[in-house]
Amino acid sequence: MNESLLQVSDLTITVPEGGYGEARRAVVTGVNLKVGAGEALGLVGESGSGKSMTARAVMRLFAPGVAATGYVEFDGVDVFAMSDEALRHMRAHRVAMIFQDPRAHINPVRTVGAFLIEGLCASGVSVADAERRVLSLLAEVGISDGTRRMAQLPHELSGGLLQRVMIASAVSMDPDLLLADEPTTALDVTTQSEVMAILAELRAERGLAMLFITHDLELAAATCDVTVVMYAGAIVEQQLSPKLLTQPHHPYSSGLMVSRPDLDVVQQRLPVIEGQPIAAFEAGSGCAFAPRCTYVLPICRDHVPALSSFGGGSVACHRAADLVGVLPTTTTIGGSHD
Amino acid sequence: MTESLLSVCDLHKVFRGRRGHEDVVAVDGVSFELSAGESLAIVGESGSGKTTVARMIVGLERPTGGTVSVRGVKLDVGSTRARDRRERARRVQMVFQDPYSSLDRLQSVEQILSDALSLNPSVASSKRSDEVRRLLSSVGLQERHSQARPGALSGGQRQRVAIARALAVGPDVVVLDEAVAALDVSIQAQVLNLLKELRETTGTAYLFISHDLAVVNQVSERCVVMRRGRVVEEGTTEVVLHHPSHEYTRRLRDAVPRAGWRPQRSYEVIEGS
Repeated sequence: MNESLLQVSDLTITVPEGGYGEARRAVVTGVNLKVGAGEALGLVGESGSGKSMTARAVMRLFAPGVAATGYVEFDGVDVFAMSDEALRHMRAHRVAMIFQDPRAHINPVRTVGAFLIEGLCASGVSVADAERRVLSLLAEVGISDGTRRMAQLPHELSGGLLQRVMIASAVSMDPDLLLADEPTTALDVTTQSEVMAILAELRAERGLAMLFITHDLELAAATCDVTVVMYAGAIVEQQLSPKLLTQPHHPYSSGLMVSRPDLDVVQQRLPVIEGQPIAAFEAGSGCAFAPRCTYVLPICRDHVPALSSFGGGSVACHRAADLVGVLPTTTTIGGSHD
Repeated sequence: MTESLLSVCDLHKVFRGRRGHEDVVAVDGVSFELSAGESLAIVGESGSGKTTVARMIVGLERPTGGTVSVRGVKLDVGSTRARDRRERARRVQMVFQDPYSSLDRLQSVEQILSDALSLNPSVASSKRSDEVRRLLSSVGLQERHSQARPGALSGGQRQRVAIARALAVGPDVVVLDEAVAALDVSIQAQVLNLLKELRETTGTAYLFISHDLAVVNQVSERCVVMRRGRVVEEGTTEVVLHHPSHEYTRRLRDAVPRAGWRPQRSYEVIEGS
């Protein structure tokens, strides 16, 4: 089946090690992803997991020195082989991106209005029409006094408002795919809830697909159709979101879930994943998670487990079959009540 | 009634507006008490004034009005005299959110901890290096880390050093301002467990500033909910989080993602406060 809007196959990204040598370090290894039109995929991981690098690869947005191999296909076209012109068109019209810190991605000395209409005007829309369209977009993202906001400078807006401006700007060109890199991490919980609700509405209205990057497994699972968990530059598990929450198949997914404090249950000690997250190039032979895994066997230290179909999704764990029903989830730990 | 260790009374802070901007009332009459060995959380969103309260308690901001007392003795929170600052530092210590900017990058971990130990009258200077070793192991770091500079440590390790530094002084109260917010999920759980253990062994009271209700539920017995510089709700964490009486607290609670959660667009303005 080749219906997917975005297909990433065997993506590997390396960065220079530094110094004078040619040595390179892998930060993403062998990632495969598929996002269908209108679908939302959550990419979850801790620092160094390679989740942001993977998202940037979709737009071919690499810092100097970064090299990628593998295949990224957007709407049937190979992104790595695109001409500069085609790439520019894709970035302007087909794929939009929002970031964790909106303030770092908007020109601080130009008004919000100038920022918002720029893209539309560049594609031939008149200023008056662009302003009209932007105003109705601002209303859609919950900014009712759009005219006043458009005359303001970015520093006059709060983080939550500015993130809504970024969302309005991202959808102004009517893209097919939205890359959202931790868009709510810097926001308050209530603002996060609003921003996620706005994204859900816009996606439903426009059939917009989303690749949502976050460190928060619960947030991803609650807002995306499919959730992918990354560790040390590779995918360790991929499941339909509701299934992942109730029955994780990788010890890392389960560990991430239960080590988060719970709103209802107080535990004497939180179950922890010992050690600290690593990057792909720090992984030894064998499973990258093995040094932190409670369920580790000798085979885990010697052989890298392949990501293979399991329980309706896929998981990269030698012990996946043994661990069915063994791995704890938030509900088995606390027993939810309200 | 248990003895009140830290007592904050009618604290106010007004930041003067510059060049035609209006004054900002960041903290507007906040009072609360913290008992010995207790953990009290201050919950609120950005702009609620929770961090400003913390900074006034440790003397990083000068209050516009109100008092802070430890064991019934009023701290001269506004004073910048060296003697007053040392006195404050012996009683109240702080752990900051960002482990990358709150440690001196030119000092080794040992120097950082020794400097703090020099404020602790119960540790003789000849015993300092033993004490450094004990502190490191109490926060789960190895002896080899004592010679490392912060740049060589991970975020979680740095936060452990910051916690050790705060405890080195032997303070009555440690103020933790979003101390686990910047950490990875798996590291956050480790540090939360560590904080819990340390409180059980040292009996130090915590004032835990956080926006994260799940974290607050795990670390505190009582909590104060702040909004726009004021306290809107106060009580045991159990009651405040599970049976909130203020609409704002309920909204904070509902906004926490969990299984089956749906994000909400809410525009209604909360009455009062």
